[in-house]
Amino acid sequence: MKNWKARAISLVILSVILLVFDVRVRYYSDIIYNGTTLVCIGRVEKVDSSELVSQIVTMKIISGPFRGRLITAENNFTGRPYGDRVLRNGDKLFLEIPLKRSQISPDDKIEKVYLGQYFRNRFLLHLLGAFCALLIVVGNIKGLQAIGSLAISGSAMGFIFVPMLLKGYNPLWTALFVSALATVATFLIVGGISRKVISGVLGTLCGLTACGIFISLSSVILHFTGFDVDFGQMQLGLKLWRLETEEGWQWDHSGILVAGIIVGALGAMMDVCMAISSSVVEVKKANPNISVKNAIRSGLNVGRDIIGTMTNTLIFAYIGADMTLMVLPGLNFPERGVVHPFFRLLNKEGPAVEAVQALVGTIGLVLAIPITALIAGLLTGYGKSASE
Amino acid sequence: MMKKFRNPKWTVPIALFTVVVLTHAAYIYSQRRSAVITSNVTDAAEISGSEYVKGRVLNLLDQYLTENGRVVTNILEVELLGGRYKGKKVIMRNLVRPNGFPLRNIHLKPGDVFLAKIGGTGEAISPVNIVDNYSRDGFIILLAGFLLLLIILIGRNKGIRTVIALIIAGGVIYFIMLPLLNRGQNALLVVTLTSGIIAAASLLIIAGFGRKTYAATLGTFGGVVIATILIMYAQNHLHLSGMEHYNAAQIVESGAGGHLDFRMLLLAGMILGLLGAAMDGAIDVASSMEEIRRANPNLSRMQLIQSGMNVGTDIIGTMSNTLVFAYFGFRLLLVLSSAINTPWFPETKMQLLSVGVVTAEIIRILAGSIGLLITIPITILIFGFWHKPSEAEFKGSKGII
Repeated sequence: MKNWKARAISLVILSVILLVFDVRVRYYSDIIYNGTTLVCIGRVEKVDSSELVSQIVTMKIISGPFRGRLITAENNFTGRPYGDRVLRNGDKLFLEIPLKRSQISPDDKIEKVYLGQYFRNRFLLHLLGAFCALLIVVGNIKGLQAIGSLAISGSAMGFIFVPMLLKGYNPLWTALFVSALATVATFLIVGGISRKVISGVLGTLCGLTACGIFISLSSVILHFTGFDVDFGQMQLGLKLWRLETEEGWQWDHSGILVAGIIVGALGAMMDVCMAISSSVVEVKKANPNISVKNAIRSGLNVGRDIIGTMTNTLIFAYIGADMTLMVLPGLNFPERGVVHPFFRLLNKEGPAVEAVQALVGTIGLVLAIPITALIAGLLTGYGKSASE
Repeated sequence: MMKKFRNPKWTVPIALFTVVVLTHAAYIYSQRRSAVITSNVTDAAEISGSEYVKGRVLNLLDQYLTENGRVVTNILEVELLGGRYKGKKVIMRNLVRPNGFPLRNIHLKPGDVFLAKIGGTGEAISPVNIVDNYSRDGFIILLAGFLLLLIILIGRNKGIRTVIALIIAGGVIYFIMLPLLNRGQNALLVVTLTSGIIAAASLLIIAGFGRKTYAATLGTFGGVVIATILIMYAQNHLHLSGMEHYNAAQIVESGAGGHLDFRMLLLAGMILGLLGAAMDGAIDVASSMEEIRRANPNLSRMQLIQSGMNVGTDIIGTMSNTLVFAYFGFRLLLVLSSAINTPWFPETKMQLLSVGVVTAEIIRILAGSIGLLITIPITILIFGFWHKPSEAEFKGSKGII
């Protein structure tokens, strides 16, 4: 295959960037809680399992000012199915060490060490690197563009969307606004400046607006509060509500729900609208004298071709996201019976939200086909030649 | 010149009609059905137990404040719409706390239909019954029916095929995958194999028999397998507990789910998530390659593969976005909560990333996207190597309908 040079250079640059971040992650340490606690990383060197209720682990600190020192810590078993872990040699964990004073010298006595999470960050970084490497190897220049557009979209989400929501802007409009930004950026990077970008962006926005309308409708009809959100063992919605009531502020939770669903459909929407816009432009290139009606029709034909697999995208993504929910109806609890039959689950807010997410997102995708075909046909049809 | 198989003009109206009728039937069924929670036979040979049924509020009999005005007690007259006591009227209490957690407040007025938990022995209904939740499944059924209608309206005959493929995929999941999972079979194996079945069935129905379908199916399966390997490797290194769902611990503690391996369930979910997008990418690429091959059967293998790569690279840009945004939107509240200072999350972002649930989500996105991406070159290579330059007879794909 040609263009190995471009791929090789990109891979080398990627490796360098990864290496820099890898070092920063490996030797990560920080001072938190106003200078009273040190966070660093330790590796398990020896495990003493002679007691049944806990493990005494000897750990070597591998980051921060105390690097190289050996300390012992206790890993207590609580007997609950979650939260307990059996530590083994070689495991890396976060450590939290209370400090006596803010100036640390490496000879300071370490009184107590608290065991934190497993240290998983490095693996995640490598996985991210593998993803980018794959994009470069498979996609070459277009792969780099994909990385670029992902980076920009991600930044838009993190640095514009989230802050705007936190500041209290209307979630629906914020979601549409940031989606527009991300779409424009992605299409410009991937497609260059052309009419297909304009029609693609407009098509995406219309599709997302359709989503927004249906979701807002569903949210009202189905009495969505936006509070049925879990974070692992924790009922995040409940905890947030308690915190909000205590501190006297309140997020627009049902609005956040709506915003989340719109952004969730964004990726697939861009995919569909880009495909239709591209092919309408190609058709116009092949036949510059094509009428507007036929241009629209060709767009619809392409849409029909892809409708089959495109409808599967979001539905499977959300089924996979909550597998425990899928097996709940089959469970027969001792003495309590079948507590979560399918009938009951579908009426709870959490599963209902997931069902609506998948359904409304897909409805938006399907509606985006004729909308984008129409826009693309109109935009390209009224030009003498396709100069793109 | 290829003869195109012309679909009869009546298929679309019939399909639309069928969807409308079935949706309506499903809606009525959802309002009339019941789900048994427990059921025993007493000494007096009567059935005793509890069940979930729908009820309709006939009247608000009384409303008063209790607990210093913190609780509003509503006394409702309810007619049961299904189950053992269908048609009977029950008096129920519905407590609403105006300043309480919104999720627990069910606001009902006369005419509303809701989900109730009703118990009773023999002919006698228990005096204590519970308002469980709003009735949401009806609307969801209507929404699903509306989606199928749209697909047929916009997609015409291809839309009909799509709907059939969706229903079959749903059937495979409901009648094959879930029972196997519930019986405790190795979740990863079950999901990988069922994914292969779903991919094959869906693609065959949507794209017809033919080389592009076979190549796309194998490509999708290849992507699924690679994602599985990646996720297994991740699990070995990262010790994910599978307890990432609120109900998981409850289930394990109660002993009801002893046969379920929650870690495998979590990983299996990650695989299923990428299936839709993988099929999409695979068939896109395979279809284009078939068109290219049709236009010029004399292309060499390398040339065909190169053309395929050109098409493939075009779509990876937007395809890689799909999963990332889908799961980001899904977890929006989580992202927002981690951005403010809360007492329940670790103080540093580095530690937050390593929390089991967060790590699981990141792996879901990354491993899923990697599997998704790899589907494209695999499909291209399979289709490419299958091709022999200038075959005497070109066999295209035949449709089922």
